[in-house]
Amino acid sequence: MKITKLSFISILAVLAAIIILPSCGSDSEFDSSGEGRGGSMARFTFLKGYLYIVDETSLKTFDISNPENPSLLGTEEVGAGVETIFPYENYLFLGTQWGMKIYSVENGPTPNFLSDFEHSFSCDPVVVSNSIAYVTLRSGTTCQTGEDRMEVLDVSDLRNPRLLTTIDMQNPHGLSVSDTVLFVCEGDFGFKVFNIKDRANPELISHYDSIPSYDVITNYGRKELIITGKDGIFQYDYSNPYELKKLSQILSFQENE
Amino acid sequence: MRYTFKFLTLGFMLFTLISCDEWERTPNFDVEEVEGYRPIYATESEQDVKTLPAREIENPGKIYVINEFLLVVDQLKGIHVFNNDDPKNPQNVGFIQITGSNDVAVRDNILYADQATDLLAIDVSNPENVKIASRVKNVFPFGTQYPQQQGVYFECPDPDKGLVIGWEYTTLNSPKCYR
Repeated sequence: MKITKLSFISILAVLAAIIILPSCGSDSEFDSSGEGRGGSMARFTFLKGYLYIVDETSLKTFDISNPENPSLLGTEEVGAGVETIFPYENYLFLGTQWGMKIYSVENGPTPNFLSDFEHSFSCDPVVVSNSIAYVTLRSGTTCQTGEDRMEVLDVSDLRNPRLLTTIDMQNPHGLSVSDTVLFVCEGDFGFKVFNIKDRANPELISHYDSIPSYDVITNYGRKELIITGKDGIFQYDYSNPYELKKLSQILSFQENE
Repeated sequence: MRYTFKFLTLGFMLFTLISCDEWERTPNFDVEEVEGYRPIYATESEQDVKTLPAREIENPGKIYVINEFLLVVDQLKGIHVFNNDDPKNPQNVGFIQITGSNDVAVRDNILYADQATDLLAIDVSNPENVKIASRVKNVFPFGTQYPQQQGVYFECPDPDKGLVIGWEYTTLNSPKCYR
């Protein structure tokens, strides 16, 4: 087949279009139907169709049935230093600078206080899996009195969380549980992988100390994890938690480094 | 577009003092020249919520997964959208400019985000042309009105100057704010 100049140009044009299109996003329909998932550092979460937001001192409930007019159903004053919110079954677990607080939305959208578990003054997200809560506490907060550690709590009785064990950490931030594996972000110190087959005794499998990490989301179905930190976004395959396989990285450009 | 913020710095000061009682060292405001943080304000064009071409990540913050998409918050600037169908090769497909934002959640084609002190519901059903569905004012009383660092002096933000999109570390002259 003889390629004419014209068809050569049109081939080029098609190639150019193929290269240019993805960068405008028009070939990849952004499907934002349904509900997404955030990490453990999130201040926003959905539960049963309502939007819950924590901000410094309060837990706010929004009816979002009409997004053009979200209505504030209630504001629960939860004390100072509320930082994170995590949905679990019919409950909301709040990470505050004073400890972990548990609220119920069993009897309607406005949260009812069930219990709290107080610790020293630290920052702390919390995640829950199979009635066990993992709470990280990090120092470097306003009052500088916190310790760096992780607390493992039995929350099968939501009104009475019980401390199972405490693990020393370096500077823990976000965390994520996937079945028998727990990933914990250690800020500038990298991230750690724990085996939690024995839920009360997390066993450190490995420490990846070269990847600053702030928060992590796991996809249990695909056994993949996404880490965010100041250097960028790192994705791993954890089908074998003892040997993570790096899938990709999206590096940030560091203006202020 | 102008925003009127409640000026809460003093309240915040009191709040930190009360919440930490004897632990908080009361800052000395008689300083003249001191190292600290100065607010960077958004320009007029940075105030709009809109879709922009894909760009590099500057200050990665929180992440969010919706279907095959990965959203990465660029702190106080907006949200990078990646098609993460193949995690070996995530495609950077666009950027939603939301100046003054740190948090995101998506449900039924509505993206919820904070913008300084406000909560925005943004219709992303047409990702090329996102639209604000609603704005709830003063959901986040503390907003982005102070730097993330703690135990630092900073220049109190002036609401008349618009949205704060970042903080620069510099020499300040008699700052009136501290956290």
